[in-house]
Formats: sequence, structure tokens, C-alpha cells
Amino acid sequence: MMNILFFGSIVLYFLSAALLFSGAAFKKDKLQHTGWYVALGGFLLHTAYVVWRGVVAGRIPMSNQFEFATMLAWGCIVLSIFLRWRMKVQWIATLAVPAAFIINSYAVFLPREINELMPALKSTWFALHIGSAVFSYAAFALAGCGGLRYLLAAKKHSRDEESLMQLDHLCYQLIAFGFLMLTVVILSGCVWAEQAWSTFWSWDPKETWALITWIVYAIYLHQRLRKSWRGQRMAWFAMAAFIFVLFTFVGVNILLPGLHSYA
Amino acid sequence: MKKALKFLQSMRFGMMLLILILLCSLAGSFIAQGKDAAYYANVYGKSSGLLMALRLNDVFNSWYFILLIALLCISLLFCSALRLGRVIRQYHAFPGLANNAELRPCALSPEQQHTFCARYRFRPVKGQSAVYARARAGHFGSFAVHVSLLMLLVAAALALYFSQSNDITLRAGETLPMKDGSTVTLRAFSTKDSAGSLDYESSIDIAAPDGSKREDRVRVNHPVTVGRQKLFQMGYGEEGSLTISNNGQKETLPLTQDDVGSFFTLDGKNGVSFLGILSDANAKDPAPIYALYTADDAYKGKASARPGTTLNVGGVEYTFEELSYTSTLRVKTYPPAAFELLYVSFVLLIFGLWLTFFHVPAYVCFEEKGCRLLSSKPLPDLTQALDTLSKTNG
Repeated sequence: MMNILFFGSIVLYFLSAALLFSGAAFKKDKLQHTGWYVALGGFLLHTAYVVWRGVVAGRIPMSNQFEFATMLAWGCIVLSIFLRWRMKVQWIATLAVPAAFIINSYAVFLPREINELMPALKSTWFALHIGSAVFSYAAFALAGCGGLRYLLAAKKHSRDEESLMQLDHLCYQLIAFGFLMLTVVILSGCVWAEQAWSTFWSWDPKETWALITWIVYAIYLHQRLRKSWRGQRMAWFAMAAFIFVLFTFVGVNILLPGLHSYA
Repeated sequence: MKKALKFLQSMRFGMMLLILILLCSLAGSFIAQGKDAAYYANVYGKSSGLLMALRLNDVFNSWYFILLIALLCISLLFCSALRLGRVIRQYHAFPGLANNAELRPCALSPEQQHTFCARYRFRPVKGQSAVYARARAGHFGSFAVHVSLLMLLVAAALALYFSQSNDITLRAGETLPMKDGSTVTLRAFSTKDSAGSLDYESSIDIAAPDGSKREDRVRVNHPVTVGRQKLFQMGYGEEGSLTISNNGQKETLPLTQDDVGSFFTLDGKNGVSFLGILSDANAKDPAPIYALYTADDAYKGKASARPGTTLNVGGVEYTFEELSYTSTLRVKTYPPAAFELLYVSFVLLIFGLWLTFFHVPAYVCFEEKGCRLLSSKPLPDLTQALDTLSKTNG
């Protein structure tokens, strides 16, 4: 039954992505609305899967690469729901839903067994540290999507300067939120590392790359203070910076194993 | 001199430092750190000499990385403590500057002004008529971020260079003296908690200098504080023992890591070699087993024995006794105040970031012909709200 929920959500995300893309390409509002409701259906199945897995495992399901990937996809949809609802950013689903589909599809190839937590992972900091990482990476992913949309919109002849400015500001807000969450990830990780390994920081590859990602986005946030760095430059920066997030998420585990190997 | 000072205070300098630290971190993550010269020679060939000369084998302890961190501290000092005066002046000056901001053609009725202020949490500024402000504490966000980062680096340096750490392996019943005169005695070590789940737990008795006693448990993620020292559960080991029985005579010998490779024999020919204590990877429950090499007239080859079993090799009985655990505890002493300073910097950093990004100060001034909005960052939601409200006036 758990597998039905998981794969069902992937199928619905795929269908939704197809509908949203078609709606955007052919400017059909009805297709876009339908696509959004299909995405919500996928999100419900996804949420049910996450909750069920958590109940079976007896913990929040974020302890390995598979669980983190599914939570990251879930986090992307949660953020897009929030952006649509509170900030009326209707277009975000066109990019967030395919992102969730791609991440969940990547998770399909990872081991899905529910294993007992290692002693090092049994900590009160578990939920805060990894939960913050979910929303941090999701925010950076959506900011990268926003950057892509900015570049596509800026190329149009009938570009609307005010909406481009709002798009640029949205990317900034997402990155600011992601940066705050990433700081929580790093600092809660330091406290947890001290309790588990007696040292706040050990230049483990995962830690180092989290710091590298933090520095990259710190540079983005500082550069924004320079007016000449708004708009297209920042859109490119938001997309390029996401590569660092991807490497921290996936690349480190494959190429640079260390203390965080169970992640 | 002035130019140099100006450069040290500049954002360009800070960005340069961040980029250099980033590049060093990239190198330190891709090049294995702390290995011996033979490893680098094997992996990098002729380039290993240059790699070692540039200290890329130990980037994070290299002189240039430490210099970069020190320069970052100077930059942070300029961005924080030495700018506090400017931040305070800004805090007091902004309400007045709101009167000179660009006039937006969005005249609002008194009721709309009230609605806008209530909705977006604007409050009147004392001493400034018709100026309303919100989130004024946000002026200090950047200051809080930079001063907390400076505190963090200083506390981290104190913890790194002035803390002491020592790993001690204890067997059940052994005692460890602490700096404050207490003693810590290991009662038992277990690899399972009370619920039967995997956990590494040392049950200890702590005897204080005043004679009081308490029991405690050191577990992974749950260090125990004794005076100014902390005990961490770092690992454990398994020790076995072997009883050799022959013609009614018995002798029991310990089997530790130091005994790996030892050959136990009575006649010099038939006997058992101890290869170590391993998890039985084939069993559903990977309980540890003795890995052996047995040699007698009937059989020569690898073998294994579960704790509590007896093997007859060459007519001699070798009984492999139940395993006992050793616990490896790390005793760590932090310099005074480093720990506390680090935690305060963490909290201040999060608070500072929240102030900087989500508590942006804004000032609005309502006039007959329109309104003036002043903020250090663009606030499209506020400008949109003002425009929307004014449109309802027609």
C-alpha cells in the first residue's frame, strides 16, 4: 500500500506537470487549473505516504538519501502551495511540480527499506537539522526556477518591467528564506555534532559543502546590495548557485563519503 | 593608510575573502585531507610534491587558511562593531528622511490610512508627526549578523586551540579520575537500550570529591558533564577470552586486539590462531564471533566459534568464552566561556538574519497629495497595497 501511495504521487506529479506545461504553452487557463488540482492530488498521496512511513518507522522519515529526497520533493510542493496561496504566485507550480517529479523519480532508484536508526542519528536535533535542510533546499530550488522564468520572461519582446521586478524580488525572498534555513541547518548540525562526536566542526565533506553553499548564497545576498546586480545577473546567479545545492545533496554522498555517509 | 582602511572596510574586501575561503574549502573537500605522503604520491604522482608544498593535504590547518579567517574577523569587525554608530544614526534619521522620500500619487483618506497602518503594523513615530514606522529593529539586523559571526569565529578558535581532549578505554569496574577530583567508574557497557534498540551506552558511577555519588549514562548524543569536563561515548570494543583444557588442567587467557595473529598450542603443532572478533555477516542477527585458523591432523583452515562454544583441536579443548565490552570515552575540557559564547553567537546569528530579511524597517508619511514610503530595501507588497487602496478612491 505504501508503494501505491509513493508511485501514485509520482504519476500524478507527472500528469500535473504535463497539464501545467501545456496550459502555459497554449495559454489555456483551464489546463493550468486542472494541472494544479492534479498536483494537489499528488501532494495528498505524497503526504499520506510520508506520514505512513513515519508511523511505521516510528520517527520522522528523513534518515537516509531516499527519505530526504522524498521529503525534499514534498517540501517543494509545500512551498509552492504557500506561494500560490499567500503571495498569489500562480506560475510557481509550472516549475515546482516538475521539480518534485524529478526528485521523486531520483528517489525511486535509491534503497527504500525502513531501517533502525543508528545511535548517532537518535537525537532531539534530528528533526530541526534535517527539516530545515528540506525547506532550505526547496527554497533554493524554487529560486533557481524563478531565475529561469526571469530569463525566459526577459527575452520576450513584450516584457513587463514591473512583473520582472517582482519576479526578481521573489527570487531574493526565496533565497533569503533558504539562506536563513541553511544557517539553521549548519548551526543545529554544529550543536548535534558536538553531542555526537564531541566536536562542533570536523570539515566533513557534507559540512564543508554546506558551508560552501552558504558562502555562495552569502555572496548573492551581498551582491544584491549593488543595484547593477539586480535582474538578469541575479537570475543567472540563482540558477548557478543551485548547482552547489545539488552537489551538496547528491554529489557529496556519491563522490565524497564521510561522517554523514548515512545521509 | 586611509585607503587601506577604507579597503578593509569595503564589501569588496569581504567578498574577496569569502571567495578565497570558498576556493580553499573546495580544494579541501576534493583532496583527501590528513593522509601520509605515500598516499598522495600514489594518487597524484608527480603533482603530490606541489600539493604537499601548498599544504593542500591539510588545507584547513594551513597558514593561509588561518590567515584568511583572521582577515575575515577584521572585516567582520569593521562591518559590525565599528559601524554601530552609523547604524544608530540611521535608526534616528530615517523617520525624518521619510518626509523627503518620493511622493507617491496615492492620497488616502484617514480611514484608509488607519486600515493600511493596522494591516501592515505601522505605528506612529514619537516626535515625528504624520510619520509611521514598522520593524525599526530591522536596522540592527546586519549589525547583529556580522557581530555574531565575529563572536562565532572567536569562540570557535578558543574551542579549537584551548580545549583538551583525551580518549580513554575502560573495562567494567575500571575507574577514571577527573580534574575536579571526582572519579568515574564504568559499571557496564551495552549496545542496546532499555527498549532493545541499537544504542551505545556506558553506565557509570560518579563519585564527587565531597563524597556524594550519582549514577549516570553516557550515550551517543547524550554526553555527561562532570565538573568542567564532558564525557562522550566515542566507541566500544569487544574482548574475548580463551580457556584451554587438557587432561583436567585449565588455563584462561584474554583475547584482545593485541592478540590477533597469536597461535595457541600445547605441542607446537596443533592449535588455534586467533584472527579477531568479527560480526557474523551471514547470521540474521550479526552477533560477534571469534574468527580463527585451526590446525590439527584432521583439518587446517579458517574456522569460527560463537562465544560460549568449545572446539576440540588436536585432542585439546579450546573454549571461547562470552565476550565482554570495553567502552571508549572521550574526556573533553573546553576553555571557560567558549561554549557559552558559541551558543550565544548561534542564537544572535539566527535572530540577526531574521531581522535582516523579514523585519525590514519601513516608514510611511501621509500627506494631502499622496504618501511617501521609505525603506532600505524594495517592498513591492507595500507599494502595491498603497496603490490598490488609493485606486478605490477613484
